[in-house]
Amino acid sequence: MQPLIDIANQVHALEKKAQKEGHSGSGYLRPIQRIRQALAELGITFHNPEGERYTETRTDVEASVAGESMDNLTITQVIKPIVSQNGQIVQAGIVIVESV
Amino acid sequence: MQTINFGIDLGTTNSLIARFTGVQAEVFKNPVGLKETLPSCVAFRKERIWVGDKAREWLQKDPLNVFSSFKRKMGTSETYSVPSRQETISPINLSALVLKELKNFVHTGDIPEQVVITIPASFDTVQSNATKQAGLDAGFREVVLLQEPIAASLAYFNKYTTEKESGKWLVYDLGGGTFDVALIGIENNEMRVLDHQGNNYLGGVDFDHSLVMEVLVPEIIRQTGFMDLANQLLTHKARYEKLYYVLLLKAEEAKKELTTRLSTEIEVTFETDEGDELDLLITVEREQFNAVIRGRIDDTIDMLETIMSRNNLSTDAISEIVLIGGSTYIPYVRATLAERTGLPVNTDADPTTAVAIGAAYFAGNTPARQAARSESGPTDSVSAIQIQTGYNKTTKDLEEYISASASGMDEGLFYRITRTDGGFDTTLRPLTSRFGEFVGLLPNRVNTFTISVYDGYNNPVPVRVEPITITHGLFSLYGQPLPEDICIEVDDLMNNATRCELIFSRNSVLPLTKTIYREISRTIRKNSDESLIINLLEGDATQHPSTNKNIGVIEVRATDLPADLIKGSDVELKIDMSESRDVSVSLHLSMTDQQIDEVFSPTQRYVSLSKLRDEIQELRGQLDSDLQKALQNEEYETAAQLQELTDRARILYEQARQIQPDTLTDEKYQLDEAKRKLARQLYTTGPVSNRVIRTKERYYDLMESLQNWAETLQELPPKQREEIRQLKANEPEAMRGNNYFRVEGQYAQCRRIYHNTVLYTPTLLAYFFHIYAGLLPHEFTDYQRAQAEIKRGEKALDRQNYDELRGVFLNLLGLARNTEVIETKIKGTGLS
Repeated sequence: MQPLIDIANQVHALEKKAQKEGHSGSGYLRPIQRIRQALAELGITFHNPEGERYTETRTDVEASVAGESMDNLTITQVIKPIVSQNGQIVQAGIVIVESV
Repeated sequence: MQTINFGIDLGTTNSLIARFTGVQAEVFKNPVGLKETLPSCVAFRKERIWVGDKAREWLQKDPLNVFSSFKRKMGTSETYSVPSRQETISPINLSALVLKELKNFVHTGDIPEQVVITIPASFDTVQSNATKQAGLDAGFREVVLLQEPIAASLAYFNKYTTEKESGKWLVYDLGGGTFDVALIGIENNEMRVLDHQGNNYLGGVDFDHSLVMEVLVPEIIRQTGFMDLANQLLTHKARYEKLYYVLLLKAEEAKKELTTRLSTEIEVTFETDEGDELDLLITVEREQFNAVIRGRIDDTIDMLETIMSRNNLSTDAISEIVLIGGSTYIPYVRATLAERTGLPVNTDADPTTAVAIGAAYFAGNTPARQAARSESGPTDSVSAIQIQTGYNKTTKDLEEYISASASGMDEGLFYRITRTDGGFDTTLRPLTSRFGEFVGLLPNRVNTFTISVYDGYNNPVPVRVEPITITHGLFSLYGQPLPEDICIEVDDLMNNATRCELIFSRNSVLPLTKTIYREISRTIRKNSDESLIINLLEGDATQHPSTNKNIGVIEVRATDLPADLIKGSDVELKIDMSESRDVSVSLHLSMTDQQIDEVFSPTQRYVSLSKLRDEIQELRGQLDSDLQKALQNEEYETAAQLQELTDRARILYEQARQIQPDTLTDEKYQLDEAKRKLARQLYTTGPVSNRVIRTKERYYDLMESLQNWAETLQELPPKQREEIRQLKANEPEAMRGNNYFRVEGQYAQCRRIYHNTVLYTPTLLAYFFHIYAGLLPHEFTDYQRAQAEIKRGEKALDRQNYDELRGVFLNLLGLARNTEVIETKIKGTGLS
């Protein structure tokens, strides 16, 4: 199980990197998408919650809260994605949240 | 004898719960996130009490209302003030909350009533009693205490009645935030802690912080010239505070990676005050990490040596050092311990769970003084509570309000609403006659929530409440459920036919997207007359492709290929269906790196003439084969029906053959409709329904034999036994109605399992070998070869060589006339 979660984490990192370096929509994302699909066939899916609203009842992420304001908390950085196996969360996302 | 069975490691930093199962100890996982450890941390946030990871999130931001490391204060008169509640709370209360939360980890339905809780070797009587009180406050009826180093030793020696009969060893416990070392000895069959030493402020989190400040920050300064970074990081200035958390999390990752690798890389991105985004790559060598922790590890070994000298012990008197605590995974810790002490370092058990496992071993061998109540014991006095809920069953919002009213409950109860995937938790809230919660939803899916009710000890209380399901994303302004399956046609090489592969199922809500990966099923030579066909269909995916409506076809002709498309090369198909049902298909051929994009509008229906002709031809072949079989079986009524369909197919084919490719009339659409009608008649009604009934009869005959064998033959291999069970489980769905493909598919599976069962079960193999050996000469295609095989088979049987007999039997099957299969190759789509 852990090796599959590790693969999901690395694919997430690759996706972020490809997007950041302006390779969205190019051939870079195709093999990444393929790995995503292969993982899905093994029951492993992962989700990048960046930009989503954060509330303390969210147990799908472990958050580090940056800044002093506690209003309108939003996930601004994702260190590790939320990983699920057959619909059950097996790794909470590791995220930074901030007031925006 | 009833034993305690449950063991709890109530740690300073993390806590765990385990149970002795009669053979081994099992550590329970948190149903939220599936971690074995629960941070020993409690947060009071408005009306909610958070325990564990959620509480730890607020440790930096709301330190006045969040409490950790309270184990250090157990047995003192110190209390904590909770500003958000305007009350005070004791370390015992906080420990009880952690213990109650651990009960939630027990997924087996058991309610732990007796428990072993571990305590540090340094705990005095008052501290021990305080821990016991926390256990009783958490609702355990009996609490037995066990010292942590003893528990760890039990885990290492793997059983309560340890194999060690005498001797001394050291338990070195380096955890997330604390360090302890203990000298353990066995004297007169009694295992005892003889001495101990520790530091309550030394552990893994200190290493992470040091790695950030001593390695990462200097390297960032070197690469960026940002000299004031160290000071900025530790302020509450959001930008750099965020960077500090990122670095801390990455340092923790790097630390873990460096346990198996000699170096690792950390990527850091951050924005400066000037708005410049910096993207840095920092390599961290294991040596650098070792240098960062060296001083602290030396301190721990100094403490270990102090114990030895205090007890006048040389290394000869110590058998080994047992490691516990997550930080003992660090190779430098292990190597330095071995090097400096010269003692063997025992790493046989998981250092994170060893204490809990040892506690469970001990619990499994400790009689319970208080008899356990029946499962519903603690809740006998509570009548079943009924909860009625009200909520929107479908929504477009990512949060929805659930209102609830409860009846039949007593005072002092709590409710908790959780989402079944583990991504939402209200934590415990006081149960009142009316209550409500906003719940978070996962987009575009059905979200299921559970309401549970607990008593003051966190024991579950029976409750009658319907499961709550809220569907997000259905029925939007444009969104509509698909009326029929969307599928593509792929080759079914096993059955020399084509079949439908489901892309989007009926009632899925638009818009939809899916990417599938397939392989080229046969080599398509450049410039040949072949083509690769992507045939997108609408209709029942379990039916034959020819019965479904065509949405669109992408035909890649060999003349358009820059190179051969080799069998097995990859095809990527991305299919998007918009809310207005435009279908976009994006095809990528990896072999030739060709990308073909098509959009099929629902207002246009594309019919490939060559495909239409192939399909009619395939129908004719099927009809002809069925007709011959019907005549052989003297089923004249069926034969007459088939003859009529055959005549219609022949006329259709002629019509299709005569249409010009560039015809402007709608004749080909009419022909396509007529073909589908014919296919439906063939596969779903009329003569085929008789055939389905016959297939069902054959299936049930074979299945009866299989089940009979499964019940009576002990030697049946487990794999076959499991396959038979699985086949039986699928039977109701496959046999429902008269779906030709489902029934045929189930029958084909049954035949395969039947054959394998015969081949791999010696008694059956011998039995069927004799049946085939007894066939008459004219029943073989080559009787002379058959006789030779029969002789070989008899010898193999004498020697009980069933592998050889299996080969002989397969050869005989090949020589028997009635197993001959005459195949006609279909042209297919080129996609498998």
